Amino acid sequence: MIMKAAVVEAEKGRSLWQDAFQRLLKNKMAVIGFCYLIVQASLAVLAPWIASFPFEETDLLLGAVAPDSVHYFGTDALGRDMFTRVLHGARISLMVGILATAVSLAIGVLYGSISGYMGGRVDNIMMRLLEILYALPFTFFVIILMVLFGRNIYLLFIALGAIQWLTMARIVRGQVVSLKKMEYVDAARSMGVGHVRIIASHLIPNVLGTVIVYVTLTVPNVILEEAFLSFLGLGVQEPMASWGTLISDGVGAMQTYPWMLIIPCASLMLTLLALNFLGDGLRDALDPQASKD
Amino acid sequence: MTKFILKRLLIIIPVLWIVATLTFFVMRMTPGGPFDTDRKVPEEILKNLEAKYHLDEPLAAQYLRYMGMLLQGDLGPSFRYPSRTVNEIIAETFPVSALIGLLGLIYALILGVGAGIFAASKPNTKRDFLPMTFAMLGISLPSFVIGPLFMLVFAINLEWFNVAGWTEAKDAVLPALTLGTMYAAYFARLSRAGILDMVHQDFIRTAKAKGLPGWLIMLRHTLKGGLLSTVSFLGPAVAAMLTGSLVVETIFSVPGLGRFFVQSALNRDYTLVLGCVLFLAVFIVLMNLIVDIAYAFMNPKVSYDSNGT
Amino acid sequence: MGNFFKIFSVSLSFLLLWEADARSYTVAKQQLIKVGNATEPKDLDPATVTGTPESHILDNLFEGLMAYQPRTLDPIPGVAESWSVSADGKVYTFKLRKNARWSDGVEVTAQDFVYSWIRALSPKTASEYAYQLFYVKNGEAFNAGKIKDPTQVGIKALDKYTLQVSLENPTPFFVRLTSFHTYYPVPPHVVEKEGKEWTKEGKLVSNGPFKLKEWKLNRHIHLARNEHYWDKEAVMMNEVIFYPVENTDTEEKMFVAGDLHMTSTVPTLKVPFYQSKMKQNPNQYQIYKNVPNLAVYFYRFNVRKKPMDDPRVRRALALTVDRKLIVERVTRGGQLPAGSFTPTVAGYFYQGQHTLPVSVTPEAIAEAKKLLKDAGYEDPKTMPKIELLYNTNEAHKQIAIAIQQMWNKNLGVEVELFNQEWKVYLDSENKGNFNVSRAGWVGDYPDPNTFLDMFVTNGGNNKTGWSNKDYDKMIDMAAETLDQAKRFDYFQKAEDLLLTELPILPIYFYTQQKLISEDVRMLEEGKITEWYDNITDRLLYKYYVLVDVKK
Repeated sequence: MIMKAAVVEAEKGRSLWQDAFQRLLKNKMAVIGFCYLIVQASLAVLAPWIASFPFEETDLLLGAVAPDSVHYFGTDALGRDMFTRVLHGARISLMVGILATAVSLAIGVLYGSISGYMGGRVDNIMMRLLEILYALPFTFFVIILMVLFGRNIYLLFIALGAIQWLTMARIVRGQVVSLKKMEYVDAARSMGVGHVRIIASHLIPNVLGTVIVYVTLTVPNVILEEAFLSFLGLGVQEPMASWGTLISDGVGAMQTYPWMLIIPCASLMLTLLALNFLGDGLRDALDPQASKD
Repeated sequence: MTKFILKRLLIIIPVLWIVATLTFFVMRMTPGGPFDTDRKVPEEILKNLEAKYHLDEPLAAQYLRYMGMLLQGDLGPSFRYPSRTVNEIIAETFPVSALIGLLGLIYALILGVGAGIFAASKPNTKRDFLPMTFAMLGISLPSFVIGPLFMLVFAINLEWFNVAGWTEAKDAVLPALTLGTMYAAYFARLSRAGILDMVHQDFIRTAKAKGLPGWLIMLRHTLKGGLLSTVSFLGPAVAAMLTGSLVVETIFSVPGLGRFFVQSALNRDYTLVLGCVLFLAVFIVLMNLIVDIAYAFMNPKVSYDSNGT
Repeated sequence: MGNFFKIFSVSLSFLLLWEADARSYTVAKQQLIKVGNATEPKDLDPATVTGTPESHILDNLFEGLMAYQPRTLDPIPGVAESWSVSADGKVYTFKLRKNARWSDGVEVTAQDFVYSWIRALSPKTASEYAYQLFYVKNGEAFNAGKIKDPTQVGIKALDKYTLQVSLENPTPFFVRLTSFHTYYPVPPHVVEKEGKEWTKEGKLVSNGPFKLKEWKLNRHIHLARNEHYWDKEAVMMNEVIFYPVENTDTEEKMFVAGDLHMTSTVPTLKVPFYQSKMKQNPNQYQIYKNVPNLAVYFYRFNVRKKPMDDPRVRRALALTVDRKLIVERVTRGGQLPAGSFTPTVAGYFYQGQHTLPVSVTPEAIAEAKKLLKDAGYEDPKTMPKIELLYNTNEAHKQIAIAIQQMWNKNLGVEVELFNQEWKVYLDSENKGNFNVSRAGWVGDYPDPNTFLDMFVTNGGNNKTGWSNKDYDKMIDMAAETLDQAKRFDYFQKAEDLLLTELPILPIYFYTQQKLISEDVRMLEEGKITEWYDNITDRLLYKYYVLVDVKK
């Protein structure tokens, strides 16, 4: 009953955002996804209090044991509790996923929409710059960053965000190039609306759907990329863990101690699925045309 | 159009120059050199080595020497593999990566775009959730997990393929599947979203109202606009796929170019790093050019007029 | 007692042999062995390469003045039939056999060795391993460009089959060195013609039991029988293929699928699986093998930095590492816990009183705590933070985590782990940017000198900043002595000092682990026997033979 009333309200023409929010609430999978993410995030925040063991505690005599009533998710080769490590791993991985994606989102959307909207020489230069950045050997930059500034978690977010925004910018620019020839953009321009306003209120909202979908693709990418940065020494350092490092450590145990791989993989996968359904729900909700149906 | 393409091809030259210059200096700022090993090489021997590779000259002189070689199309000898030149290494390994990349690309496009269309045709139903869940599986299982998994199932249990190596044609299959799976997931997600964007556009509604059959609308209108973001993504994706992947090539022990992108950097094999980077740069510029041309076909409103991109 | 044990073990090994041989076999028709070889060799030039994957191939392509016995590594006649040494131990004369040939049929002469060694020493060749030849008179000066005339280097061909080598010092292990790849001959007629491309497939000519058939980058290296090899009658193997498989899990899977006869190593997490498989079925002729290696795994302490400048702190840390637990529960490959620095080599092992305990006892913890207190760190929290540096690698990581926990639990000392990519790690080590750093050392030749001369003052591989005049003196004296017993005595005294001062923390002695399929056998004194290896894992396929085992 309440839902129905809300829909009626929305149809009266509330703001775009409220409208979208109502439509999101109607999407069952999106709501489930959202709830799951909230639960996962709270578990991560509360990890030190929930976890049954200190995350760095080894038990060499115990070694790797399969899940049981003491170690719910089993232990790794050094006898460390996997439940604890996965919980703690979530802290780093979720933070990396959110912050690095936010960095890439901010730069990518801005860069892409300016390039696409301005067109001509500006677009040409901005896109060639992007290609140059694509080609540069990332490994060296990471090593230099690390040597100059030492190990630092913020560097990690910047380094990860800095590679991910490139494709985001390409995609946004592609959308904007096609959108800017739409009638409503022409109309706005002829009415004397400024460039900034046009980009901010006409173009970006219309690329948001695609952007959200690409964000759901960026999150897993940065979470896994973090494991490579750990290899170079910039990422998470032992005995701390992240899902990325847990998964890469678990690969060798695929046949001998499969829980070392399955548990972090499953945690990542469920989170991404939730994110994915939430993302799709958001995309559908934000689709300005969909409301006309 | 021809003028546009020519212009863009000419731009490759400054792009390569900037890439080469930046890489050259950044690389040399990085600690560790090509001859560092855990057995420290005595000073006088190090001097001989540096003299042999001209590393004893001032950096600017080395840079000019390299640029001079580059102008003649010579990428120099590899530091790590002294009996091979960088040109030889690229020529020998690129075809392997390209074959795997191409197979992977075809597989990813068919599976990914197919799943995207399928899912978008009935959004928010089982037909949508199921393929999208699989797509997410493909993304959250990194290739260093999928590769060994495929190896276990298809090579060891079913014995359809060799575990690893590069001796017969079918050795390309498992690496291509591993490489393609992640991209398939990307294509599926992007094309689903793009198609849903289009479904509600006015001209699609008009077509529907005209009573055009569904498949024709899909083919003629929806796909054209709906795959725009997929195509944008294709530029860098194709470049990355064709030049090879370190993880896939190492896991399947395949002699491709992809291994050298990261490994040459780790080995401080200066010439090989530059060779790989420049080769990749050419690819990216070309792929993006093709993508930009494709935009014009996909969206009649995008035109390349005289002052256009 | 000793005798009884000897008899017992001999009869036991007899029993095992009998068990193994109970399964009858015939020599296989196809003698082609496929082996995992870790990574793509940098080159196949014996003069310049330094790595293990390269030496695995070169040892089968080339042969030095001396070859080596595949089990003991003792020098046996190679290209040289015999040798003699002057009374002062400084001049060696080698008599070359007249039937030694390059794989293209050209004769191998004394002049070829002169050419090859001069080439390896030449500054223009810029060989990283030129110092392996610095024992030869004026070798170092010629390499440094201080002497331009190659005839002043102590190597001369007296005639076509007689080679005379003069040394800087009497070097008791010199004859052994001539079986090392830097001392291998290279074919002057090919090198001069092809330049730096002479090692490519179709060009490379060698003088060992095998010749190069194919070399495909990152794919494989294929060797075939050398029909011109002087001892070809003794060789049963026809072909060897080396696969540069970098991923050890892939290598293991290739072995399981039957694509490899022998792997280069075994992934740590798979070791327990193979060990239990061997236990369940003791009749399994061979799958998993581990062989002691001439190599030590240790940590370096940076004695230039607090708190590692204090030997008491170093000793406290050394006493509280449970080496036995590490080899049994972390590395798990049959490694030996290291109570001293030098592994047992050529009859030498450390027997002094400073051997470190392999397990941690409550008494050791109490002693360590007292040492820390004496050093002024009664409360370990007041200690400057200790950073443990290691290069990125799964095994190093596991060990570092275990040791971090041991120090924390036993002493309350906080240690922070740092991993760095290989080249950055080397840079940090060389510049002294570390407190504790992980290291490993593989002996170049079977002699304690290859381990102990590392820690002389300002030694290139010392890296700890540690310096001790008495230690330097012992190493110098050992270098000038011919009497083996006396030399070993100097080494004992040197190692005494090393273990008292502890600029290093020995952890374990390596083993070489392999998976070997059951159809691999080896030849020994003309008979087919079980597979065996030596302490430097130098594999000679000349002595390998494949059999068909009757099921």
